[in-house]
Amino acid sequence: MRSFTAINKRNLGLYFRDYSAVFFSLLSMLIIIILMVFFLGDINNSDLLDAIKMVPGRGGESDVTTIKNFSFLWTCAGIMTINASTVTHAFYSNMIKDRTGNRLNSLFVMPVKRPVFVLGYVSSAWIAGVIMCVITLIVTEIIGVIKGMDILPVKTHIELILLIMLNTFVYSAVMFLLASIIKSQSAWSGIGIILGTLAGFLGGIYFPLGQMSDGMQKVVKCFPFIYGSSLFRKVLLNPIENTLFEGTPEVIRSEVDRVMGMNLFLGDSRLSGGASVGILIAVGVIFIIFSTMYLTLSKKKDR
Amino acid sequence: MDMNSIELKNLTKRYGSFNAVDNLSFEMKQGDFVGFLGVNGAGKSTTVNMLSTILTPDGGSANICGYALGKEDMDIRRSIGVVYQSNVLDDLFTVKENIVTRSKMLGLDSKTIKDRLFDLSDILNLSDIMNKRYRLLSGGQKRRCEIAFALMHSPKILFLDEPTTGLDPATRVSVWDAVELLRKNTDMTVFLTTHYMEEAQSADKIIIINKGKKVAEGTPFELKEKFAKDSLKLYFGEKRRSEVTDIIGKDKLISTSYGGVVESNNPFAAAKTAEKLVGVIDGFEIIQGKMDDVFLNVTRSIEAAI
Repeated sequence: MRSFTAINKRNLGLYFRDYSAVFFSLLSMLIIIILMVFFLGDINNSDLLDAIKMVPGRGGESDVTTIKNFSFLWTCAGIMTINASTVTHAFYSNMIKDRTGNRLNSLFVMPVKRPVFVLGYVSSAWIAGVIMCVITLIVTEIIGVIKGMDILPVKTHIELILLIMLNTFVYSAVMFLLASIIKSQSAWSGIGIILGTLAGFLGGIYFPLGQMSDGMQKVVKCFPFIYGSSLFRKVLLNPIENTLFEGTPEVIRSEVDRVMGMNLFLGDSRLSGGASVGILIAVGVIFIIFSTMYLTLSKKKDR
Repeated sequence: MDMNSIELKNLTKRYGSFNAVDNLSFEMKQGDFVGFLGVNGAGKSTTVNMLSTILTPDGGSANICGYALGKEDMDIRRSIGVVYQSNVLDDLFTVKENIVTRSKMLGLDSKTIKDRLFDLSDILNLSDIMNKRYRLLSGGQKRRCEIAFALMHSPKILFLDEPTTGLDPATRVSVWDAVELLRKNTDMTVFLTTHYMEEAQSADKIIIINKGKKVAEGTPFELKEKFAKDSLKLYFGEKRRSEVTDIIGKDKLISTSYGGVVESNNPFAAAKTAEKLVGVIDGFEIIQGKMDDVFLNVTRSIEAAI
């Protein structure tokens, strides 16, 4: 336990004392939020408004405002999902530095069992990721309140924090395996570039899942991003959806949930929230097992 | 009976068809200071990495402090400390933070860490820099910190993998003074890899490897006797040159500005030669063969044999 705590302390210290890394993590998150709020966030608004206008007497000024807020939160839900992957990616760049600087050998030579070592790295990346995602949530709320939205209910906050914890766990585990395999700083930066480019698509953030082709939808469902973003959206948008779809036929809400990626379908059957949670937990656990196996087996060859 | 601290039997590490370490066998007693010499790429670091459980050997066996390598690796890790050629402590932490955090990773409790750090900071002269950021330290200060951390859990064996490479001569001396002081106070085995031959001069035993194979083993004196010649420096004026060459032979004298030099197999033979020149020369000095000569002669004879 002492070793585990010490590994966490070291890794978190290395990440949070590298002020430029923390600053740029926050800056990239802010840039995406600002871009979404001022330029891209409204692209889905007209479709939503058309759907609401199908109900007689609806589609007035208050619905327009609600839809704008809906789009903002929808975007922020996606950002919270990919933020977990980008922060943990940045976090593990220290592990790559450790390897290239011979530091990893100095850690491996300590009497620490490999699973403790793996869990120590994964948990510290998880803590850093959770902290940064909670900051994202706080920034989202502040911008939302400035835009005139109500503060989210306490229940939503609790659910969001639990989701942040789950989602960050997945990327802490996935990124650890990648960081164990990748040998150079430039290759790790390459992974970062690919991640930054693809995560937005794979999470259905740049454009909604329902607007993707069938083939693309199948590809997207092979990655964990979409399960996280669907859960975040379900939780974050639930209060505003209750307002928006009040008095509208159920079919409008379910169609919006399908197209906008709140609800996921495997074939014709709708994936429950519990199933998405199960998939994310499974991905995290599988990657931790793979990482431990990789570290144990790679020693037999060479590092 | 003294316990062997390190025992290697035919230890081998292959990378494809290349044998980085080739059937290496040797033994070290607890408390020994062993110099493990070889040129760059000879297999020194690969051997240290195998003995410190970082690399798995492809053949042979090894016992470290009585524990079997590959089977009791956790016990081995508890018994050894390693100082690497490159610094491994973290630049963003202070010296104290670095050592305390890593010592906790080793499983040490706070009281042991405090006591041990107090002792080591005294021996290694760290008290002034304890709260300084590691990246702000000089090369020599960093090395002393690395050694301090490697010794926090009082290991039975200290591996020093080229610990002074890239350091200036004064810093090298200060690092060696610290290691010497530690050796005097403990019964710790020191396993030093280096390509600075003179650093191995004070070792109890020297092992020279070339291309992964052991090519020589013995005390510095034995190796010098076998592989390095002593030289006799003779001081005389130009007028005496013909007399000197008449006595010792023209072919044997290498002329210099101060007189000449004669190679000799051992100091007694050199003394006998000098005795013959009493009254002819102004003075003489017997220069003992150097470890550099040993190393060059060993590796050259191997190259020639190949």
